[in-house]
Amino acid sequence: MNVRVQNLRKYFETSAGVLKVIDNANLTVEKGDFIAIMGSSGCGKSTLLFLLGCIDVPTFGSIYLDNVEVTEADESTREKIRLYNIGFVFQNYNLLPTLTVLENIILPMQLGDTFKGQREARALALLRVVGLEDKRDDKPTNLSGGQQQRIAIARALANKPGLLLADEPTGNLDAKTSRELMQVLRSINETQEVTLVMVTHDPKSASVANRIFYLENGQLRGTLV
Amino acid sequence: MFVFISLAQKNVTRKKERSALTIIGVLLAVAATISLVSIAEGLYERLNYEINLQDVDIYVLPKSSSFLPAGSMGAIGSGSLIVSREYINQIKSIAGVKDVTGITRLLATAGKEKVGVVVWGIIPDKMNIFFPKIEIQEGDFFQKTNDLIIGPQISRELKIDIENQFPISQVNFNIVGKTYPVYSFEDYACFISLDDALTVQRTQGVQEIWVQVADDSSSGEIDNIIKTIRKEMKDVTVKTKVEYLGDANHFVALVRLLQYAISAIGILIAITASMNTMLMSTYERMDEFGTLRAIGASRFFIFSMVLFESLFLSFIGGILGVLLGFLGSGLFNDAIVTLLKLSFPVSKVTFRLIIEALMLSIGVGLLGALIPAFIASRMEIIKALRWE
Ligand SMILES: Nc1ncnc2c1ncn2[C@@H]1O[C@H](COP(=O)(O)OP(=O)(O)O)[C@@H](O)[C@H]1O
Ligand SMILES: [Mg+2]
Repeated sequence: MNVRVQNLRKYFETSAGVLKVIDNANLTVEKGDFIAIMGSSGCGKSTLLFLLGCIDVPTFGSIYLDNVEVTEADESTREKIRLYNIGFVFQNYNLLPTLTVLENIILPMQLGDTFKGQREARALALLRVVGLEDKRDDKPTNLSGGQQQRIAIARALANKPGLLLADEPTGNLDAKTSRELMQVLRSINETQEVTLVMVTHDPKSASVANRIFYLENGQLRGTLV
Repeated sequence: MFVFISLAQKNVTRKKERSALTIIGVLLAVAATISLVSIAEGLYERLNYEINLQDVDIYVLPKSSSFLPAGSMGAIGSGSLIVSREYINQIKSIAGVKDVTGITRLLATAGKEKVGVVVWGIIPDKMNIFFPKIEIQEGDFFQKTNDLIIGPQISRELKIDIENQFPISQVNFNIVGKTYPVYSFEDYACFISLDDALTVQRTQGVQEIWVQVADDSSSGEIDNIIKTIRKEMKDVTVKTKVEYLGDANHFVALVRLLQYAISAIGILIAITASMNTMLMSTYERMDEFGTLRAIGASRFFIFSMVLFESLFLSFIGGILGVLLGFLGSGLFNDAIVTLLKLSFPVSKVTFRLIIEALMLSIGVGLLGALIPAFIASRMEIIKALRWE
C-alpha cells in the first residue's frame, strides 16, 4: 500500500490556546517501503500515526492510501479500512487481557469475518513469524514486554493489511529486546509485502528502516539512511 | 460473528466481587418481586378455584356494581347495592331456567378474639345445588330459622361445633351442620338461610342472584335467558360465568400491577446498581475499547459487548433470583398461612411469573447498560486510547 500525506494539519483546542501539533506535513511512502519517523517526545508522532491509521481525523489536509482519499470517508468506511487494510502496533502493546495469545491474534479475523476455517492455522503461522508458537495459550499478562509486542505485531498482521503502523514499538523495551523486535519488523517488511511506517525516538530502532523522517514543529523532513 | 458475546462473557469474570454484587442486586430485586407478586398469582388461583366451587351459569348483579371479588372474599366489599328479591321468582319462571337462588354475604365476628367470619345467605335447599362440591360431614343442612352450617376450619379455630351457638348481630344461630373441607375460604365461612341473612341485614334485596340453566351446554340458551333477564329487569347486570371469572381476573391483574409497582423500588435500585457497575467497568476499560475500535471494531460491536456483559450479570441474577424467589414466596406463604391459620396456600410461583421475572432481569440489565454502552461506543478513539 502506498501512502501520501498532503498539507496535513492537526490542531488541538486546549485551555492554553490552539496547539498546532501537525502543521502542514507532507509525506509519500511507496508500497513495500519501511520508513521511520523520529521526533522528541510530545512532538506529535502518535498524533500523526493516528491520522494515518484512520483513528483520528485531521483539521486540514488529505491522506491518500493507495491513492484513495480517506480523511473524508465516513466512519463505517474508516472502520473497514482500519480492520482490513491497516495494522496498528501500540507502544503499550494493547493486547486484550481476557484473551489468550492465540485469541488475540484471531480477534481481527473474527471482527472482519475473514479467513474462515483457517483462522487458527493463520494465527499460528503468524506466531511462528514472530517466534512465539509456544505461547499460544498464555495470557498476555504472563508475557514479557518484548513478547507482548511480538504478539501485538502478529495481531496487526491478522487481516493481511497493506500498511503496518507502529507507534514506538520498542519504547518500553531494553536495547537487546528492541534489536530483536526490529529484526522481526524488518523481516516482516521483507516477506509479508507490507508497507511499514514506524515512529520512534530511538535512533537505533530507526536505523533499521529504509528511510528516516523527522517530525519537527509539526512538519516532516526526510533524509536517507 | 458474535465475538462480542464471548468477549463480554470473559469480561464479567474479571472483577469477580463487583460482578457478584451486581448479580446480588438483580437477584434481590427479582426475588422480592417474585415473593410479592406470587401473592397475586395465589389470589388468582384462589379466586378461580372459589368461583369454580359454584355451579352457576348466570350471575345477576346489581346494576353498576363494580367488580367485587367473588365468593367469600366478596363479603367485605359487598356494599349496599342490592338486587330485588322479587327477581328470584321472576327469573325462575323464564323458560330454560333450572334453578335460582339469591345470595347474600355478611360479615360476623365470633369468638373471644372477634374473628371476622363470612356468612353466606342462600335458599336452604339450594346449597347443595349451587355448591355441589361442599358436602356435609356432620349434621345436616339448615331447615329451621336460625339454623347454621359451619365450615370445618372456623369450627376448629373457634372450638365451636354442632349443637353450639353462633351469634350473628346479637342473634344466636344454632349450628346444625358442618361441611367437609374444600381447602378454600368456604372452610372458614358459615351458611345460613337467605331469609335469616336478610333479617339480620334488615334488607329486602339480595347481593346476587345465581342461575342454573337446564341445558348449560348450549350457549344459545344461556344467551336467550340473559336477554330475557336484561329485558325484564332494567336495574341489574347480567354476567355469564366466563364474564364473572373475567372480572375476577381483571381484579387480580390490578393487584398484580400494584405489587409490581411496589417492587419497582427494588427494581430501580437494581438498575442503578447494575448501571454503576457497568459505568465503573466501562471507564476502567476505556483503553481496551479504544484498542478494539482502533483495530476495526465498530461502535455497534462495542455497544453490544457492554450490553451483553450487563445482560450476563443480570440474567444470572435473574435465575438465582427466581430460585430465591421460590424460597421467599414459600416462606411468605408459610408465615401468612400460619398466622391466619389457613388451610390453603396464599401464594403461588407460576410459570408466567418466572418468565416475567426473567424478563425483568433482562430489562434491568439492558437499562443498566444503556448509558455505559453508549459512552463506551461513542468515545473518540484517541481519547479512549489515551485514557488514564
Ligand atoms: N486530544 C488532545 N487534546 C489536546 N492535546 C493533545 C491531544 N492529543 C495530543 N495532544 C497533545 O499533542 C502533542 C503531541 O502528542 P503526541 O502525538 O502524543 O506526541 P508524541 O507521540 O510525539 O509523544 C502533545 O503535546 C499532547 O499533549
Ligand atoms: Mg506517542
